[in-house]
Amino acid sequence: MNYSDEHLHQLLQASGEHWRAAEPPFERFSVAALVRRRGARWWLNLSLGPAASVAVVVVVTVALVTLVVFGPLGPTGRPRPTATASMITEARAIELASQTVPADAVEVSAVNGRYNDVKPDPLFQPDAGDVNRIVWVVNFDLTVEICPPPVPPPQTSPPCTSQRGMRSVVLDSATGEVISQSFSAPPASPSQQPELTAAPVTAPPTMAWVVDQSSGISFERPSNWTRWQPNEHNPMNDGPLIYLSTDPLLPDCAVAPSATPHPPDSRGRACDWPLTALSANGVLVIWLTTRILQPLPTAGEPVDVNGTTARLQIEMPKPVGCAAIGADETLDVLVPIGQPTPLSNIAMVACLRGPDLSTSEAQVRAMLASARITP
Amino acid sequence: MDVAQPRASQLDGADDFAAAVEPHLPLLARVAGRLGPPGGREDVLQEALLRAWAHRRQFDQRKGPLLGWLLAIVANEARRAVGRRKQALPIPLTARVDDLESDERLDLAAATARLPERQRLAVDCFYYIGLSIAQTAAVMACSEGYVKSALSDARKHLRLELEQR
Repeated sequence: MNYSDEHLHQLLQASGEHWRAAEPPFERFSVAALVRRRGARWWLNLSLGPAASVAVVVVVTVALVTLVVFGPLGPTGRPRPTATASMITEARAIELASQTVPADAVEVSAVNGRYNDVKPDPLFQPDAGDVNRIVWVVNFDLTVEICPPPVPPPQTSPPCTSQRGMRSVVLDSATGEVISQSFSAPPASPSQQPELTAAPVTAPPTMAWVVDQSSGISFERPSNWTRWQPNEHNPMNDGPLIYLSTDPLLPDCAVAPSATPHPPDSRGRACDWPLTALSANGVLVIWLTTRILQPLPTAGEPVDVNGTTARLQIEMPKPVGCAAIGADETLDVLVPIGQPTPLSNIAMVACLRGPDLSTSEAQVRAMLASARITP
Repeated sequence: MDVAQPRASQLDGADDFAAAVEPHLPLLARVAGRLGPPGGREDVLQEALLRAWAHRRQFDQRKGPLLGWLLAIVANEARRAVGRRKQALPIPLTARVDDLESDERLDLAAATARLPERQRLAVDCFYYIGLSIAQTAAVMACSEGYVKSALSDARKHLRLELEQR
């Protein structure tokens, strides 16, 4: 079909009108209330004249010079964590972090500072918005059980092995919110190196597992999870390969059709999430391809996926991520699958909702360990 | 629109700022919805308005209308939010197609998503959000002539792409 410039102009206008009509209604809100509510961010309200600005600059400069020459920023000192009214104490940080690790974990250190300065893994890059966040990093010495995934009868699961390492828990200094956790193990000699596979599986013994597959990946999953495979996804392109969940998945929901030419479903429907909210103890797993090469994360717990070591990152959900469906925890793995291949990386994102995160986490880990990728 | 332009000093109080900004909220929300991450419209808009509030003294009515200034802030915040989201969840984000019934429109949306970034931004602002050429130029921080040229180039790209199908 031939298109004239005018025809295309009209088509774009019609498409724009259609999009505007389909936009969810916008609920007006009070801008005055918004800016007042954020009044605690006092610097937003600064409205200084030139003289006052100069005075502030002078005072701040003198204070900085004093700190550098005589204070903890001086050559003999390093920034010392000092609790302020808006910061949780070291003891409180350790107490909160202890709640996220096994009871026999031993706290070895706690460091306070800018996230970018005190991050457990020097190569890890926090989100741009988190770089300057003031955090506590609490490190624990602990031993984790590493168990292979359960296998369906009549096979018998190989025994679990133990690995000792350091778990670092990062908390927001002001709120005590756990931002991330990572696990690192000292390098072992090849003969001593344990197989890195999924860690504790605490699925109920009666839980049945089934083998599932989609577009070149196969894995085991609990039989009671529902699955939904986006319409005819071409793994040459970016996009989700399969959704798995403990909750019902929206029947007509196609993924955001961003991965062009990956289309929405045959009825042209599209949505961002295949469910609106996770129920209690709910899990949503998304296996997806990412064609654009991303730097592989260097932080996170090493796990074996498809015979290669990947990094499992466990984080608090981002507002625009799993938090959008009410999740309390995000598990994120990027699996390099080597070249040459039409695919670059396979990723798995799991959104978990509490209160029983440990069971869900164990199931996701087991599924990960069972994954095989054959592009 | 923007007949009576406020001066920076007239935006000092929260109520004055709100009175100047609130008439533009629906259009700003549309920009946040189109250019921001899916589901992030309200977050983008609120964060952008807080930025505008924080920097309200930088608004200079001689450089352009308040709406243009606000549009640029919302568009920047939307792009920042998309960047953050790409880091948070590696689901690729581009143009959205909602409940399309027409194959032609579907093809058009897919082809639009593949346009070079500046051309796509021009198409998003002008055709989808419904901004004028001048408002689109404010968002893109460029001249109106550049916007017209980008739109023309975009239509050429789209024509070629659609004719190949």
